[in-house]
Amino acid sequence: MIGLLHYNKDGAPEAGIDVPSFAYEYTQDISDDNSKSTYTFVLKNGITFSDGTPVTAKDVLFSMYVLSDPMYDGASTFYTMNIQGMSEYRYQTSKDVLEQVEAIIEAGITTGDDGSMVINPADGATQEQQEAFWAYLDEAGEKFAQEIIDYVNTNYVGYIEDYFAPYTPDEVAANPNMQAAYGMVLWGFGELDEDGAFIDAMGNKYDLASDTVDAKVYWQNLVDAYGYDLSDNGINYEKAGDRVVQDYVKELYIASEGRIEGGVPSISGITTGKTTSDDGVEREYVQVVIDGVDPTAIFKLGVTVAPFHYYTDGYTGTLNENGVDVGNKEFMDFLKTKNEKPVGAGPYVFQEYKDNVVTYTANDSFLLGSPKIKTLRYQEISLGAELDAVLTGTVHYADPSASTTIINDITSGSGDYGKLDYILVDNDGYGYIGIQAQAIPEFQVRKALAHAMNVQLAVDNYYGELASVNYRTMTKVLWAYPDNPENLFPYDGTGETSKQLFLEAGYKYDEANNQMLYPDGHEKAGTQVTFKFTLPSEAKDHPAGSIFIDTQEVLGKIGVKVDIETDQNLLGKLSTAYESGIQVWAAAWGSGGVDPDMFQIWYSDPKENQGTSATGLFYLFENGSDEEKAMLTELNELIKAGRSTLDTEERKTIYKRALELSTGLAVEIPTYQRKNMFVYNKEVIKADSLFSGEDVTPFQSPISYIWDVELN
Amino acid sequence: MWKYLLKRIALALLILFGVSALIYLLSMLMPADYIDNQTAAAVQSGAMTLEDVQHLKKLYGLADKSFGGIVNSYLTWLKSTLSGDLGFSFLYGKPVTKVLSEYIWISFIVAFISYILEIMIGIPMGIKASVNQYSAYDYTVSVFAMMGTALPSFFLAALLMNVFAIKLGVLPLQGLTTATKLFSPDAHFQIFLDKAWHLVMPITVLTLLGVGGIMKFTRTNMLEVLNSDYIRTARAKGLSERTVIYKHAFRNTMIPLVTTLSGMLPGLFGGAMITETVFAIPGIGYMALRATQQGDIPFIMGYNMFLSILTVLGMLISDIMYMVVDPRVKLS
Repeated sequence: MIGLLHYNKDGAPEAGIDVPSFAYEYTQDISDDNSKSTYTFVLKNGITFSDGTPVTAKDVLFSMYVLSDPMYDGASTFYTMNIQGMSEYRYQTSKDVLEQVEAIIEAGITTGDDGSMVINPADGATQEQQEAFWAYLDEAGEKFAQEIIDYVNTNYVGYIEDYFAPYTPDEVAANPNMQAAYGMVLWGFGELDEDGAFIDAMGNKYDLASDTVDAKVYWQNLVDAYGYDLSDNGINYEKAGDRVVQDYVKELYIASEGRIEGGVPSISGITTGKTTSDDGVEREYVQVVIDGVDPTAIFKLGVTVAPFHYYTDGYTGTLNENGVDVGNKEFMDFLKTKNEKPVGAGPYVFQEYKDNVVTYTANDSFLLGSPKIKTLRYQEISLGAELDAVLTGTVHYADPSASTTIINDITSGSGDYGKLDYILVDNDGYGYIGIQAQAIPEFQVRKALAHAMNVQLAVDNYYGELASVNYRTMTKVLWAYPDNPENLFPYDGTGETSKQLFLEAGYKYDEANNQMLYPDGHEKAGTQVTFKFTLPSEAKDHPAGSIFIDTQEVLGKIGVKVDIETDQNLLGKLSTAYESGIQVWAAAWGSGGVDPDMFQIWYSDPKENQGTSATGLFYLFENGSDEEKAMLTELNELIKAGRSTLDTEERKTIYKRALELSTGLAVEIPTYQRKNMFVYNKEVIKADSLFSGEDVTPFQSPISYIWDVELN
Repeated sequence: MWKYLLKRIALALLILFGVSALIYLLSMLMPADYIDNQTAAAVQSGAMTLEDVQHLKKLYGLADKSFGGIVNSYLTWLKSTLSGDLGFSFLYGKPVTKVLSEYIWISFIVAFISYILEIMIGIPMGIKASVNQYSAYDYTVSVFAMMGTALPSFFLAALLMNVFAIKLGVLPLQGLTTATKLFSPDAHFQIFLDKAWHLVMPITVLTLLGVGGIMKFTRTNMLEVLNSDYIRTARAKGLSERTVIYKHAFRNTMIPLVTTLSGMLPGLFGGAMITETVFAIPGIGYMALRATQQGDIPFIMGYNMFLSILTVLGMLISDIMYMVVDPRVKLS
C-alpha cells in the first residue's frame, strides 16, 4: 500500500507526480496567531487500486475516519492530533460537555430543609449549567424506576400469587398499572388492600383498573423516601441493574444538549472538495485543520489509503457518508477480517500467506510503472539466522545485526560469502550513560564524572568501524542534529579536571591516603566518595563496559571509588531509577520518530509533562541550583518554541541550543551512534538497482523503491 | 469401570477449571501486557499519552488489573469458552479456534513421525541393551541415549543446521518451503517433497531427543521381566532364547510400554515450541511462543487450555490402555 504522502530518505514529506504518493502536491499554512494549521492535500487523478478501481478522496476520508474511530484499536496515532472536531467525534459529544458533566456529578445534590433539591457548588460548571443538568433528574428517575419495574416483572412473575393476590400473572401481564404496582410492592413501596386497590408508600390509593400507576409514581415514592440522596445508601440502594440515577441523567443530558442531532457523523476539521492546480487540471483535495501548531502532524497525516469499496463490501450494518459505522466494534472486527487479504495501490498485490511465506505479484497498474520483479516473497525466519539464511540461499536479502565479523567474511569472499554483499546504515537511536540527578545532585560532581568518561572507547573497543562517537543527546540521523558539535566534557585521563570539580563542590581530598572525602554537612561527611555504576550485562559484553572500567581507573587516581555492578533488570528499573538505587548506568535510546521534538524526555516541568524521567529532571527543575534551574527553564522554552513552528531552519537553530543545554546538564552523556546492516545475494539481486551509500538511511532502506529493484 | 471413568472425567474437569483460573491470573499479572508492548515505542517518543494507552486497554479488556477486575474478566472468558468461543487473538487478528486448527496439523505431523521413529529405534535398542546387560553395546547405547536426552533442543538444532545446511549445504536451513522457487499450483508431489525435505532436520532433532527416554524405559522394564521366575522357567524348559525374549519377556514389557506410549499420543498435537522456533516451522508451538511474548491473553488461554485437555486426555488413555493390555487389571 502507498500513502497520501511519501517520506524521503531524510524522513521529509514529499508529494509529486514522480513520487510514490497519492498527493499530487500539498501545502501547510499556519494562521498568523499560531492558533491553527491548515494542511491541504491535492490528489492525483487517474490512480487506481490494484483491482482497477480509481482512488478518490472518499477512500482518503474513509482511511482517516477508520483511524479516528472511537473503537479503533490499532497502532496508528492519527487520532492523537488536535484535528478540529476530533474529540467531539471520538466522544460523540464535546469534550467540554463531558468534563463539565463529570464536575457536576462529582459536586452532586442534597435535600434542603424544605425537602427541595439543593445543588452543591461545582468547580468547572456554572450554576446555570448545573440546573440545566439536574433538570433531567425526574425524567431520569422515571427511567431508573422503570428498570426496577421491568426487572421485577421479568424475574419475579412466580411470586405474583403470593405477594399480589388476588391478581394472576396473566392479569398483571395485560395491565401496565399492575406491573408498576407489583414492582413497587416487591420493593416495599406499597401494598394491596382487601379490595385489591393499591396503596403506595406515600399513602395514596389507586384503583388499578382505572387509576394510573407508573414509573412516575414510583419515582415520587423514591424521592419521598430518600429525599435527593443519590448515594448508594440513598435512592441508588434500590437500583435493579448496574446503572445509578446519575447515569440516566448524564445520558439524557448529553443526548439532548451535549450531542448534535444524529450524533457526530464527521470531523469538522477534515473536509474535501475540488480545486484547479497551477497546471490547469482539476483535482480533488482533502483538507485537515489542526488547532495550534504541531510539527509532528505532517508525519501522521500521510496515512496509508485503503479502498473503501473493498473493505466495506459485505458489511451488513449502516455506513455513514464517510463510509464508516461510527463507534461500532463489529465494524472494526469486520475490517480486520478483510485484512486477511489486504488490497491497496502499492507496487505489489497480495496473493497468499502460507507456511510463513507471504507471496506478492507485481501490480502492473502501479502509479510509477510496473515493478521489474514479477513475484516477491517475504519469509519469516528465526531471529539470529538472518546471515545464514542469505548464505544458504534460503532468502536473498535480510538485515542481520551488524558486526565486523560479517564484514570481514564478506570482504574475504571465501566460499559462499563470495556471493554476498552488504550495505550499512546509521541506526535510528544512540547509546548513552545516564547520571541520576537526584542521586548525584551536585552539578560539579556530575560534570566531574562526565570528564572522566572516554566515550571513544565504546567505538574503539566494541563497535569498531560500525559506530562513531556522539556528543549530543540526539541520534545523528535526524536533520536537526547540529554539524560537528564540540565535546562539552573533554576526557581527561589524568583525573585532574574531575578533581578540581570535586574540590569546587566542597569535597575534600586526603592526599596521604589518596581518598576523596564527602564534604562537611553531607550525610556521609568524612568518608570516601563512592559511586555505583550499573550495566545490564557483563562489562565485556556491553559497549559502555570499557568506558566504565576506564572511568573506574581514572577516578581511582583521585581517590574516588567506583563499583561496577551488573543488573539484568536495569531497563525495567529506570522509570524509578532513584528509588531503585541506580546512580550511573548505560543504556540506549531506540527510534524516536522522524521529528526531533524533545518534549517527552527533556521537558522538565512535571505540571506539563506527565511522563517519568529516569535522569531525575523533574527533581532538578524543583530542587536544582540556580544555574541548573536557569538551564532547564531555557531548555523548556526552546522545546516549546521548537514545537510551535514548521520552519526547518528556525527549528535547527532552536535544537542546536537545546542540545547544548540538555547535554550540558550532565545527566545523560551520549556515547556512540552505531550502524545497522543489510546483506544480500549479489548473484541474484542486481546491486546497482538498490539504494546504497548516502541514499540509505533509517527512513530509506536499500529496497525502499522495490519496484525499481532488478534481478540478474 | 464406567463409574471409574466418570469419576476421572469429573476430576479432569475440576483440574481444567483450576488450571484455567491459575493461568488467567498469571497472564493478567504479567508486568507488560499486550497494549504496553504495542504502544511502548509510541509512548516513549511522546506520540501517545498514557490516557490513549488506557483507552486502548479498555477496548481490549485489560484496563482493570485489580483482583475483582481480573475475576470479572476471567468469568467473562469462562462463560464464552464454555459456549465454545475461545475469543479473538490480539496478535493474529483471528478467532483463537481458527489459529489453533490452522497450525496444529504441521506440528502433529512432525511430532507423529518422530514418535513412530522413536518407537522403531528406541524399543529394539532397549531390548538389545537389556539382553546384553553391561556389554559394550549396552554402555554405548545408554551413553548416547543419555546425551540425546540431555542435549538442549536449540543446541542440537544449531549443530545440525551448521553441519548440514551451512557447511555441507545438503539440507535446507529452515522454514517449511523453498520460498525462492515457484512451484506450479498443480505440482502437488513436488510441493510435498519440498516440504518433506524441510522437515528432515526438525524430525531428526525431535527423534534424537525422544529416543533415549523410550530406550531407557524399555531397557529397565525388560531387565525387570528378565529376572522373573517365569523367564527362568521358560529357559529351563528349553525354549529358544529368541522365544524367551520376544514371546515371554517382551510381551510382558509391553504392558507399561503401551500405556506410556499411548498416553503420549494426545501430546503430539501440542507442538514443539523451541524446535519449531529455531527452524521457523509455522506450527502451533511457534505461534504460542510469539503470542506469549506479546501477552496475547486469549491465545495464551486457548493454547494452554488445549494443552491441559491433551494432558488430561493422555492420562485417561493411559489408564484405559492399562486395562486393555493387561486383562488382570480391573478399574474400579
